[in-house]
Amino acid sequence: MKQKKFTKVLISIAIAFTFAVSIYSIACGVWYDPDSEYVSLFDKALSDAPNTRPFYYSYFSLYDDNSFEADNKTNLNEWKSYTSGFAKEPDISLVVYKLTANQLDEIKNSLISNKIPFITDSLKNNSFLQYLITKKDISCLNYLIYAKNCEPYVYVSYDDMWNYQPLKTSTADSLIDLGLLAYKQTTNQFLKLRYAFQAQRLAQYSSQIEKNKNIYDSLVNPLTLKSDVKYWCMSLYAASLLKSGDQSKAAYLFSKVFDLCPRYRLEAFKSFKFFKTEENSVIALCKNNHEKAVFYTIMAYYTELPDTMYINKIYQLEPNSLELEVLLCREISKIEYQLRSIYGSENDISNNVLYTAEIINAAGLLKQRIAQIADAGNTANPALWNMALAYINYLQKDVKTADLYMAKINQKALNTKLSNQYNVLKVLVELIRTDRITTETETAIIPYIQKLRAAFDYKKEIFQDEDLYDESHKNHIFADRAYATLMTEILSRAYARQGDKVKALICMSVGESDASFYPYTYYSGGFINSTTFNLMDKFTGIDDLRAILHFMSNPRTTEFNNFICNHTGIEIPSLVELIGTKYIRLSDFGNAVSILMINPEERKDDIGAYIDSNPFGDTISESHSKTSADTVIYTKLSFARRMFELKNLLKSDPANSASYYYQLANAYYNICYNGNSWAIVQYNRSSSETYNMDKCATTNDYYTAKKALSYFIKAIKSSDNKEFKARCTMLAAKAYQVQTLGFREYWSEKPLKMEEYFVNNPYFESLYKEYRKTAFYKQAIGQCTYLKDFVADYKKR
Amino acid sequence: MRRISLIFSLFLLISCTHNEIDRGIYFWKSNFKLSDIEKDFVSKHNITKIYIKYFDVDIDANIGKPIPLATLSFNEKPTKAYQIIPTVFITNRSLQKLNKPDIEELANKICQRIIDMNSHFGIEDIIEIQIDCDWTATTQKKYFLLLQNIRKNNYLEDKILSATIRLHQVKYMDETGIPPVDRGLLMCYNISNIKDFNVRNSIFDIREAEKYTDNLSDYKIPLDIALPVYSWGVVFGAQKFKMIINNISLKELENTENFEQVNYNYYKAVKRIKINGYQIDKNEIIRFENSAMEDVIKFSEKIKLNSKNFTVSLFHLDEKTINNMKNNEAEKIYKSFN
Repeated sequence: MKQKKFTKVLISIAIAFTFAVSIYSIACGVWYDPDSEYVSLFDKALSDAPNTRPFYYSYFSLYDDNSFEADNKTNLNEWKSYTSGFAKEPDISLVVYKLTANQLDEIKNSLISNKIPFITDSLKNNSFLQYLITKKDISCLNYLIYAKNCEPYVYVSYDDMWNYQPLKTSTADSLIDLGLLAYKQTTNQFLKLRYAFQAQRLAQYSSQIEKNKNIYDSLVNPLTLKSDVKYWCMSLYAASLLKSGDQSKAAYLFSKVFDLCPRYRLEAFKSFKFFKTEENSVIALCKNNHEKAVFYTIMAYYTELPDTMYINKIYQLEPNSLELEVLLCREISKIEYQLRSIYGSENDISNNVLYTAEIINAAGLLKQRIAQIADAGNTANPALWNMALAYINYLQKDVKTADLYMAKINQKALNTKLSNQYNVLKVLVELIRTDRITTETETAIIPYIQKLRAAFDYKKEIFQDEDLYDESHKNHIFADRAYATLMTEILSRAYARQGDKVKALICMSVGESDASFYPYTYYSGGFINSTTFNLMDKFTGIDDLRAILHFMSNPRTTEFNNFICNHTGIEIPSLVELIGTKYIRLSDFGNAVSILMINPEERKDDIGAYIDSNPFGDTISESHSKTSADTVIYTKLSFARRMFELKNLLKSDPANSASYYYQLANAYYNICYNGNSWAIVQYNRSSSETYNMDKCATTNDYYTAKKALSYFIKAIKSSDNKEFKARCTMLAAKAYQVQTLGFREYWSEKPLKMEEYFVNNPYFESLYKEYRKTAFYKQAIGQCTYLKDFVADYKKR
Repeated sequence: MRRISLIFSLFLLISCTHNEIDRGIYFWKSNFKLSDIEKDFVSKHNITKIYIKYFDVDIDANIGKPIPLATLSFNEKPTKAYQIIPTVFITNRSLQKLNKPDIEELANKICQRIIDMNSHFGIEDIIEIQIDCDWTATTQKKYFLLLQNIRKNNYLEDKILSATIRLHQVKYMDETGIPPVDRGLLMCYNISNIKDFNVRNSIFDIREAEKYTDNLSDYKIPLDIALPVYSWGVVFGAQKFKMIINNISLKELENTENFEQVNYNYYKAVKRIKINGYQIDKNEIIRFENSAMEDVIKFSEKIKLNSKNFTVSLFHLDEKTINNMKNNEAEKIYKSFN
């Protein structure tokens, strides 16, 4: 039962940590990490298809929202060609994007007046300006000036973003006319196209749909030169068609832009969101197989559920399409996404048999289709297809077929990405070869694990701020994530299933700490805040923890064992402390002392302040702050020693047993949830944890303080001193109330019992009836409002 | 416990004089146009102040500077029956990389944008501006500097500058500091960590709220107060926070064809479904949270602010939220402060 529970918890907590999803619809602005949605061991980015990252599978529409060609590379190259290669791109970029219309106007006017233009020192060496001045290219200068005058109407500067005044469209109209006039006056097609673009864009931004269309039809289309700008114009034209209702043609043109213009590829893709048109009407407009394949690719990128229909169509039209590979990876991601429920707890597995079968069926259909394509051998990257098949067969636990496809792959011909994927698959396929991980399995997989680890390097950063932490995830590579995932989701759980908690926890910790993917923490980070530590603390017994300590402290017999011990995040001192803490929880103070002696220096962190309180002191009112009783500082070791000593003194010095019972009682009270020294037995304390306690917790002395109560009762019985007995009775009443923690369950079927316990607290009753004439009672009733209210109520009964 | 509450309340009744309160409400949508139900609510409850979010300020990843987002549009002009208090929400990350001149510039831009928006929509007679930011230890200095600069702006010369204060910022005022503004708005909602699966109600839990209100009287600037009247569903997958669904109704979750109640306010999806356009997968859990009106009222009765004149506001003005309230709960909240 314990093993099953451990495995269940290990699985559920491990997978819970995988889902580092943090979408906040209140304006918190946290970046969403799409790779944390589900367990993924197949690289979405395996294909070399360019400009496809936004289209990797993600639960929320786009995997990445960054546009392509932010550096305007294509446009700068065209300008470079305009200067016959004379001007350099950085210089062109400065002139085209940074200089003002006034600066260029001054240069133009000087050239017109046959004067030498004044150029500042910083621009003297600008090769593009040198070209324009040397060639006296007034036409080009005119165009650049015109383009800059258009900017305020189409480009929002930082200051404009804050400016709430809407743009005046009447001025935009006069600029359009100027552009059209300039188009007619210039003979240079390069400049003509750009004039037409500027005018067309102004028309679009001022919602003049017909003007936009006319400019495109009459001025852009007739131009014969090849230019990226043509696609910019096409995109504007398609937008106007969309607005005017010609959806099919708009879709067709957007798909051309998507295919041929990286700068507007993403915008063209997003425009498809608004389409409600029949696919066939768009296909009818396509001139060749490639255009049809592109359109189907876009449709496929919009398909959320598993579906090989578009893969089939695209393959028929263009078998060597690189985007086919991206689509293949998407389909695998979809299977992985749906499989995440299988990676959940055992309860989920047993309850979702049908769901599991559906997923495996979907994987089977995909496998069938991919196998036909892979076997035909006419794709751009056969190794990728074979790897996909190996992976699907791994998911179906078909080791024989998985081996078959792995054997088809030529390792030496693989690039880095494919090589990393290959190494992951080698590990996975090996793991399904037998029912259990054996030494032979470990020997077989360790070379590939080592290769994966060597494939990435990272600087482990711990972030205090949630926003900065999330930004760091954007740059992780597959090998890094896959390594962590193999360790935590595959190996760790496999070891847990076969009862090897030692390796289960060590591997879990390797994945958490040895890759940059996992340190998901708002605090100081480190082993104590890790999932592994949480599992050790909450769900691992002392014997297993000692086994880990032994395993890590002694010579390693295999390369695999050596690797995991060298790469784990488990810290021996913290492990020793944890074992000691668990002994303290069991009141086994002798063993606590002997284990804690291994590492007498204890961790001091932000909760160390709580250990500064005296666990053997008593207070009438609740307080976690330091009080006058806190004169001695205890560590876990010195606490365990003192408890051990007190228990021995009970036997050796029975005459003073009342005092010893009292000290023990205080200690047990102070190490319960309500006490001042809870940090001796727990590593964190949350005010919300009492709302959701399971049955086990309500029998846990940490939440009931029954030990404290029993010792206070013994102290009372062992003494004749009324003042002392009064004090102990009061403290017994406090301990008695702790049990009401278990009744803070709002969803309990029983009525709220806190008041019942308060009203019927037998120790308050005893205190009043037997000790109300003591000096202690007089002090207590002045300090404790609970007692005061109890007595007031009791007197009325 | 009940007896203690009674005694405590009685004590308050005997010993305290009446407070003079103004009634306010927050409007947190991007288009200002009140439905008849919303107008009726404002009128019926004698609400004289509406805090309206004019825009957010967040960092633009491409340019690395803070920009305005989610700007409000007035689709109808507010009447003179209530004051408008422009509110601006600022994220911490928009402050992190700013230096002193940047902060001065940002303060000016915020004020100017408010002026421009008011001018464009004909909003007049503004007497208060509110800034909303859940500042942290790392952004405290910069945020306070921003507030100082806003305070110094000519536009604020004859106006009140207020800032939202979270409960933990009052309780730990020595560590978190007191913002340099004229008034604070004590936000008594979103108290607990919404992402914690075990938190029963992150919107409002009276036991949690009460832990933070012992030292209100020590707070150095006068406090107004805002209380919640809204609800939402918090979605978890494998006990890990996934998203929030606004305007989800309990009835939807009580539909046993789609959900199974697994605990007091936790509902597990028994199949893959869509709610309000959001995809919920099988076995994902939705925690339904509302503002537990009885508790909000109880809390309102007990809490003691640090001045006699203050504004009590509800979050937030929305037709669905209004329809979910019953038995004149809003009026009870307002009245509990008298």
